[in-house]
Amino acid sequence: MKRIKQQVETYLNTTEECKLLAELILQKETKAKVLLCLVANRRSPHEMALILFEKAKEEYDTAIRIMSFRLLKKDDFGLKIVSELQFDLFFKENTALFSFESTSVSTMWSVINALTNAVKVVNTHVAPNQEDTDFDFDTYTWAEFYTKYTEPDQNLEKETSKAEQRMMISDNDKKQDQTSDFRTSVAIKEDWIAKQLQNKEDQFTEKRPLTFVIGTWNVNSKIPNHLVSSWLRINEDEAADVYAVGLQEIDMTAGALLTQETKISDQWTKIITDTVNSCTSHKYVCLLSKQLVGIYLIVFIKEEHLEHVQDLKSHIEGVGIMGMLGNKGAITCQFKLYSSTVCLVTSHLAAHTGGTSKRNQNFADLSQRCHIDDDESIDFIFWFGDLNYRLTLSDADTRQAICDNQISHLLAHDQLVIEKKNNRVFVGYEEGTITFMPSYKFDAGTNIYDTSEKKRTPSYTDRILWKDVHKVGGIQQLYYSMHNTFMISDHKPIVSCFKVPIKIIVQDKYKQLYRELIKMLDKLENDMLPEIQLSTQMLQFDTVEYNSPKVCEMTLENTGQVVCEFIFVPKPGEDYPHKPWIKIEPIGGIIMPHESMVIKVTLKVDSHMAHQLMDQPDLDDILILHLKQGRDHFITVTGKYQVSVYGIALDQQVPECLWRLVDWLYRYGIKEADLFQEAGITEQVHQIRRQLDHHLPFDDNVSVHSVAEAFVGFLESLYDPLIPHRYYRMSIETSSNAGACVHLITKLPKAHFDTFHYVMAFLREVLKHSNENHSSIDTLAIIFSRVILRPPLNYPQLQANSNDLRAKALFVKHFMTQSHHWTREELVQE
Amino acid sequence: MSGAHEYIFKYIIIGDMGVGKSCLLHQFTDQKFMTDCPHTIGVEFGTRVIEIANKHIKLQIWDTAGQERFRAVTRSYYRGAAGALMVYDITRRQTFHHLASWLTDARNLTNPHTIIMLIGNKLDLAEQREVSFEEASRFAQENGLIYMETSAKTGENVERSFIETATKIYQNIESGVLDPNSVESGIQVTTTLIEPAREQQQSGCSC
Ligand SMILES: Nc1nc2c(ncn2[C@@H]2O[C@H](COP(=O)(O)OP(=O)(O)OP(=O)(O)O)[C@@H](O)[C@H]2O)c(=O)[nH]1
Ligand SMILES: [Mg+2]
Repeated sequence: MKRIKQQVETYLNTTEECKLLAELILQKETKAKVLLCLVANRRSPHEMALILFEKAKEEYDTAIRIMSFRLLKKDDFGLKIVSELQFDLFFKENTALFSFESTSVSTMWSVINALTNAVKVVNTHVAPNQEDTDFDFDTYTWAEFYTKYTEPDQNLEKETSKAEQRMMISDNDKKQDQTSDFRTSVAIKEDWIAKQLQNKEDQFTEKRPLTFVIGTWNVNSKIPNHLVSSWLRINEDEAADVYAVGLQEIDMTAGALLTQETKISDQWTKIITDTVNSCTSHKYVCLLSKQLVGIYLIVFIKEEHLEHVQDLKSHIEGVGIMGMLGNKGAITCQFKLYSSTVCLVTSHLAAHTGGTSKRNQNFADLSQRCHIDDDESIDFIFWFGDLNYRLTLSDADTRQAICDNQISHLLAHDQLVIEKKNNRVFVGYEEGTITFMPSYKFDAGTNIYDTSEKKRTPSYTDRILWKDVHKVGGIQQLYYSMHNTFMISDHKPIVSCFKVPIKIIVQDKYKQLYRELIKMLDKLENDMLPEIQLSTQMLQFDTVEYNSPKVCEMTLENTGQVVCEFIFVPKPGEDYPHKPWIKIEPIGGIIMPHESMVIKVTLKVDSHMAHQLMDQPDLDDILILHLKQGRDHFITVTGKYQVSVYGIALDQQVPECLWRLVDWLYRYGIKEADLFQEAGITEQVHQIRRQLDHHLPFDDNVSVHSVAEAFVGFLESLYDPLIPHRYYRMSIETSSNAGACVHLITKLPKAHFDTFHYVMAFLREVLKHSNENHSSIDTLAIIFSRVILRPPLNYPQLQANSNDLRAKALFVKHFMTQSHHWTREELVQE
Repeated sequence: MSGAHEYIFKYIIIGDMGVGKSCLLHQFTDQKFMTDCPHTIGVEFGTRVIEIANKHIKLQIWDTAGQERFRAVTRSYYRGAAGALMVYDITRRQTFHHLASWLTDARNLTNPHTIIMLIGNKLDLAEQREVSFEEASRFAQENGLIYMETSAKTGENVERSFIETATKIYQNIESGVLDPNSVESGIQVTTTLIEPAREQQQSGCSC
């Protein structure tokens, strides 16, 4: 077996756990020896599957092969014990049935045990809410591996395609705005409505007392040959709304033990159906009738209520032999009647006077396994049956007390009363006052307590208890009694009648409240939209001059009730939220309610943009100010660029303004100390630009340094630099070779060539006066190479490093040392 | 018990400035009329949950600026609208003339199943009417639009127009013409956890 286990494990992934491995014989078709393997996904243990391995026919061949693979899905899978060594596995959804035979009882026991556990794990797994299934997409994907080895399993396909579908939807969701928050926000709202409805339940519900008649009887395998109306007190005047009858020991044969359901239950169903439907003018409908070996439960409801029954559920659990067979156990019938949930439980617990703790344990196990404890929806529980608790008085004292009609004396020694008082069983349950004699044990056919050799002590084995789970109050027990007239069994039947306050929703009131809540939410939601007040929606800049930033401020005030997160967003199809000549600070932020924030919008036209704006000087834009989860504001920006010669493209000849600047500097500034090294006065620089644009003379008192700065600034503003962008790279590369540099210059367009030489000649002039103006060839080369040789915009930044700076300066230096004034033609000839 | 489906429909309101788009939105969401409603400079936003065929549907409404200069920007909000309310002012013929251009935008920028409703607003000023009901009806018919006259002031027909549009969208979903899961549909689907107490269905068995 150990070797086989290793073999199986080679098929399994590390995320899969082998919970069971058993060698069995597959009945019917082949009688083949197979290995039944139960695997679970370690990551989500409710995902389980059965793998059936086939072993090779030849003894010497030890190979195994996957023969069948089945996912264990919720409520789809069940187990039936056929005999001590045989069991059936069945799958409801596709009605598959496997019959297995085991060679040993212990194997059978471990298989049954593991499979029953599996059924429980799978069936009780609660799928997480749809809202947060995101992590659940890979449901059963681990299983795909196995299906490749077996015939296509339709169920599995269905499962995956569903997952795929969900995946697709979720992809779509991602594309939609706001959707990520959307599902959670819907869930939060639904939650809120549900809570409100719960709190205001009184406003739309009323309690209607419905009558429940509950009977229990251990029939000792007997069947009456008449109706049982007198036991259940069925008559026109006392017609109940619900009848629930629990019986014990209807069939105690070995066959019943194995199959759980036998023909006898049909006979009982007929008797009780006839009883409830023949004694009154009302029609009763059977909600459920089930058998677990000797235990039987049948529930009827008045037809008029049937349409208000929902969520009918039933659990059947055995706690008998091996802790699971049905000779002892319980059947439950749970349903929602109007808006209250009722759970009816009948059980037969462990026998014998000494079995008290076993009975307590039975009760605890059944409560848990039938999900009576953990189901919060249950409002009322009625638990009835042969609970088998005994009287601890001696037989003689008991019989004497019975003769003396000392019921309270008897009850003081009743195990159930004692255990319950000590909170060892039926905690929270109530039982009505017992006014009848013990229901057990009689000589059959008489009303005489056991006279046989065993002489069982009379006891209150048959009981009816209830629990008002949410303590709403109002359950009324009308009677609790025993019927002596039924003598076929050694137990007497017990009956009790209750008025149960069932909650009923008044539809009109409910709908009205629901609508009001929706309306409230709507209002809340609209009130919770972020809101801001803008100090202006129009930013007017009038004229904007070259390289002179202009600022407009605007105040955003959060006038809403919530924190407002804002951001300027690009218009569709655009990459930036604004045109290149606009700067917004900050571009996004968070404003608390009642607080304000100032947004600074700056317009600045620099050398990069000046040229484009020459023909179309309108500085217009619409900014979109987006509030997260809210509205958008449009902010209009208007302005006009004051077109200037700065930013022009060299076209025919040396531009006039350059002329003027050089001429002025030559005349008045060539001997100025620190020429080109001291900064000018910004306002004067602007003024010079205006005077150039309008062909006006410069001011008399203008500083040389301002003119020098205007000169450098003009060279810098040229749309295409003196050495055009396309020669930039080549200039850097040839900078160390004077001849190559000179050659490169010959290729320049005429206007660039002329202007370049004009500027160089001037700089050579400047250097002649370096004694006065402190200039040196190195500093001038650095200052002017920076504006004459500008890298194109798309030039890799990494390369514009200090090597480039040095190379640029070197390039320019060749021309600053040449004293010869070449013409283009001369150069070309050379 | 499977949960009810909730949908969210995206609406846009378009039309010339001053025709009453914002007033229609406020009347629908707050049941209030604003006499001095400032021009919308941007895109406003409001929601309301309505009930159609026992289903709760949330309308998410985008009210756009009508001014011509914002036209290029507001166009970007049309995408993914399930419904478009195209509004003109019955007392200003100009606004009616401009419908053709609004309609072109709406048709070009939304999906083929977007329900477009024509709304003639300011019905309370019927005595100053410059566009007759018949003329507008004809225009609506020729262009396959639903048509209604409303007053954002009195509230007349306001709710009806929003709901009628939603009903049409819902019918398109039910009949399979419109796939609510597609991105362009302007619809978001979710499963809600609760629903109004149903007329309870029987789930008992008869034996
Ligand atoms: N009498 C009357 N006046 C209305 C009606 N609807 C709107 N108004 C008025 O018309 C003016 C413009 O209304 P708005 O709702 O702001 O118009 P709009 O279509 O949103 O305009 P923009 O936002 O500029 O596109 C406001 O002064 C309103 O009071 C109406 O049904 N009847
Ligand atoms: Mg508006």
